[in-house]
Amino acid sequence: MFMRQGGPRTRPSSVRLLALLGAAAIVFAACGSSNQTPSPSAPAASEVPSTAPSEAAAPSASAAATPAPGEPTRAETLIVKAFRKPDALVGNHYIASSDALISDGIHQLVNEPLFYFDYKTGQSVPWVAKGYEYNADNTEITIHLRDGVKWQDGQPFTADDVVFTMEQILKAKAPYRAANIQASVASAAAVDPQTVTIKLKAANPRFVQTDLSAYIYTANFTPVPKHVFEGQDFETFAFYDPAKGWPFGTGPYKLSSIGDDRSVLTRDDSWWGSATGFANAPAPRQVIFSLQGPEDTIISELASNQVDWAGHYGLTPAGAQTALNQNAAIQSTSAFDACPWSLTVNTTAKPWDDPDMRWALNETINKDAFSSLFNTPFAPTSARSTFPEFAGLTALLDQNAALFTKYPTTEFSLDKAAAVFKAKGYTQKDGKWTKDGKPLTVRLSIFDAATLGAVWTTAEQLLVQELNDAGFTVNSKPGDFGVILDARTKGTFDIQAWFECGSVADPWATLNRYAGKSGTDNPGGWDDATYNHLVAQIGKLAPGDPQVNPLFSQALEIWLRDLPVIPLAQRPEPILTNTKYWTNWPTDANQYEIPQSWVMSFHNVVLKLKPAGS
Amino acid sequence: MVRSYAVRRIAYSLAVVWIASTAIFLLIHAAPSDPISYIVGRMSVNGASFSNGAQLVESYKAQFGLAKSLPEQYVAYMGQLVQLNLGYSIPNFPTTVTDLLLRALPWTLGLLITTTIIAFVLGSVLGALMAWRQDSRLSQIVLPLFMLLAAIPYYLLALGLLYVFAYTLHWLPTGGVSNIMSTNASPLDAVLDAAVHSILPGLSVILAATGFWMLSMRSAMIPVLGSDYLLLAEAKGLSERRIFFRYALRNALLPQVTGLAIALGSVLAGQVLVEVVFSYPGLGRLLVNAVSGRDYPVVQGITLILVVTVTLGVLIVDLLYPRIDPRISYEQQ
Repeated sequence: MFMRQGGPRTRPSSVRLLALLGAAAIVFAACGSSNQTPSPSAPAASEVPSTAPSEAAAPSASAAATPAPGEPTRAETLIVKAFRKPDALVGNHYIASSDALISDGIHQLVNEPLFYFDYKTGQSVPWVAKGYEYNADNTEITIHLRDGVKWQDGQPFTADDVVFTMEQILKAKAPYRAANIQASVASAAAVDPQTVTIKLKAANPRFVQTDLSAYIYTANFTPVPKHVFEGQDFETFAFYDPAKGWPFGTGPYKLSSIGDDRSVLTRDDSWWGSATGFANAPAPRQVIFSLQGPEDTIISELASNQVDWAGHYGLTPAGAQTALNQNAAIQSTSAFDACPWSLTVNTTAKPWDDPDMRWALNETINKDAFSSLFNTPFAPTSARSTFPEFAGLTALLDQNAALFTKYPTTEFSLDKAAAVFKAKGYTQKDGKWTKDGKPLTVRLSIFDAATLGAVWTTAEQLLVQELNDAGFTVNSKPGDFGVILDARTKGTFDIQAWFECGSVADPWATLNRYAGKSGTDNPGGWDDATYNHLVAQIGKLAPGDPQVNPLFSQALEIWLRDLPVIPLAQRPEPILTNTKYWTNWPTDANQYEIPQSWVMSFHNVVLKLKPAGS
Repeated sequence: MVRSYAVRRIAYSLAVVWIASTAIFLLIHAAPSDPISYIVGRMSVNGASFSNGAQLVESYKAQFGLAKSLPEQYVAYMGQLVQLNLGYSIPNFPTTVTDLLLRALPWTLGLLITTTIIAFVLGSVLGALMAWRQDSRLSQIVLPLFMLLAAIPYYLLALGLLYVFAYTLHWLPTGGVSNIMSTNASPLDAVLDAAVHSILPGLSVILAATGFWMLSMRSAMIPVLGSDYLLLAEAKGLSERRIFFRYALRNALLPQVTGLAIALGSVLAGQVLVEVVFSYPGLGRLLVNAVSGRDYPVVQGITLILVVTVTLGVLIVDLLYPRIDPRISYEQQ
């Protein structure tokens, strides 16, 4: 109970005490900021001192710090913007979520796969492996490992590491991105220290390409060091301990530190690639993956040369254009994401089980308008198919141009659609199509803004408007991945926004998505026996086999005739690179490698960069 | 202070924390989204294509305990809380929630405690002066200025400061916590670097919050001005400065201190946008990422911290009240 006693008394000010605590707090925060530092990599004795001039204070306070003697200068550092800060302190490729995997530079520059996939040639380029061969019926692969490959702790990389990793994956309960490995591989064995044989569960001439190569964004199979992982729980072992120098791989960079807003990787001057003469040592002494801020911050940093690479969720096309206008050293590169946007149609639900109705639906959607939402101020990139338009696939599709004339997927024509609806017995009442008293309804399942960005709110509005204008009664249900995947599994949609990940050079992977019940992503339930047979035949042929093309044309015609999925748009990503300090980036004229920094093959870009003025 | 009162208050505080934890648990699990499906979906966006996606989802749900019934998950959650185990971050597995919070907490505490205290001190002194010299030039200029600033949300001020001082004038960094090329060779370098990077985010909080403290202090000060003890102090010939600081301000400060304790307790909330704008790796940014990534355990962990700090702040003020104001006692009459 409160009781007032006497008058006021003066006491030592609590404010002074709190002010002192506050000052201590800021010192505490700065000193105590977590800086998870693996064993510091001192400059190698053989390191050539940089002849680049020390970086003078840039016109920005934030670039004013001068590195200590021996530390990499700005001109020796590659700074890459990452959309996510490296929260996950995990070096185990197999348990890192995909967002965690791409944020800290480890899978790009510390780890190396057996092969890298070349989108242009459609071939797997040997890396820590030097070659492979299939047996006659494509059920067994012999992989030859490259001599002289070493882990960053100096231990040799051998067949035992490959076999061990494979065995761990096969035993895993939830192998994450290695799920395909588990589904495909029966066993693996070391023939000798440089040779591994992998027995497959079924013939798969694409296994090396899609699962052993860095394909699309990462490699489903990346060897781990047996001498570290042995005895650990493969599915919970983080492989992260700075005191022990973990994680490490065979790559040209070691992880130096993961801070609160960045990860720092330092060139390993004892990297096997340069030691054996296989490749030149990369030019950047240091690579920093730095958390990107708001778009204006990225633009400002590009303008003041504080950043060498930016893109991927950080920049809109308009923002990219602004940055280009502000700094002549900035260049943009066309980069398609491998997974075009589409609308999956539920072919098991009436009236969408009728291909004519699916085509009519396709004709009510303006693909240019949809694509413009994502591309403005650049030109729209409507999709004619669900294949990403990389060079090899574009050439293949162009060879079948006559099919796209016969089946014009990008056509927008409400009149043509109306003619189909009328032919099917629909009549229009108050602007809405009806038949037997029931409205022509379409259930639209689409991403919400929180899942893939605010642009999807506008995309939903656009699609709903177009469908309403076309006379449909629209029931739209935006949601996150949980909602979308739930609808996809249960078939509680008529059309669903999605992205078609599969092929990047050889067409089989995308074709196989729709191959009936065994299709890898066919929630629309489309099932055509002839198509399935053609896809199975292609699946037995090696990528690049000349017999693939005529089979592909037949399969494509069936697919276009039935249109089980409505192609919407290719997904160009604005990628900006800065030539102030580094040149020889992939460009439109010379796209020797895909330019995205978040994919495993960014390794090849870094290897080819040259100091500006060199 | 009566011991039984303190024990009761501590027990009430624990009950508040328990009720709040339960509410957080139920609210999060009532959300329609599913963190595992979200992760699998993100893998698909990044180009992964796997043949057993549904199976993968079920395996991961089992791993994170999400396949159990809600009561079972609740019991497991409470059991972990009692052991101060906040579990694993789902998208950052096997990084624990505690690891993430401990990395982010110093930045939030360092920035926000400092700025809250600066805003408090500055606002309280200015507010007291407004009341003390009501017809002064100071009142005419400072009062409307800070009222205007107080009306502007933190994040708009942050964007404005960023535009002027970072993007345009290049006087201060655009964000982050240290220079990208900083080697931080000594603790002093690290402190100075962090301090420079704290200026803009700190300023946006200080400018927005000072007005609030100023107005509340002014309101608290006005009744004190007519007190008899001030008249006596003046009659005794004490200097105006002494009367202002040792008698008027000090006695008007009590409700401000109460507010400060609560504000410090809730300092973590409401600064999310400042941290996002300045890429500050504090709890606010962590919360944004956790919500968008459906990282239930991290959201639970951060919300729990908020509840605990507010509850603790109120408890401490309550228990220390007799020390601050000897007119107050918890003894039974």
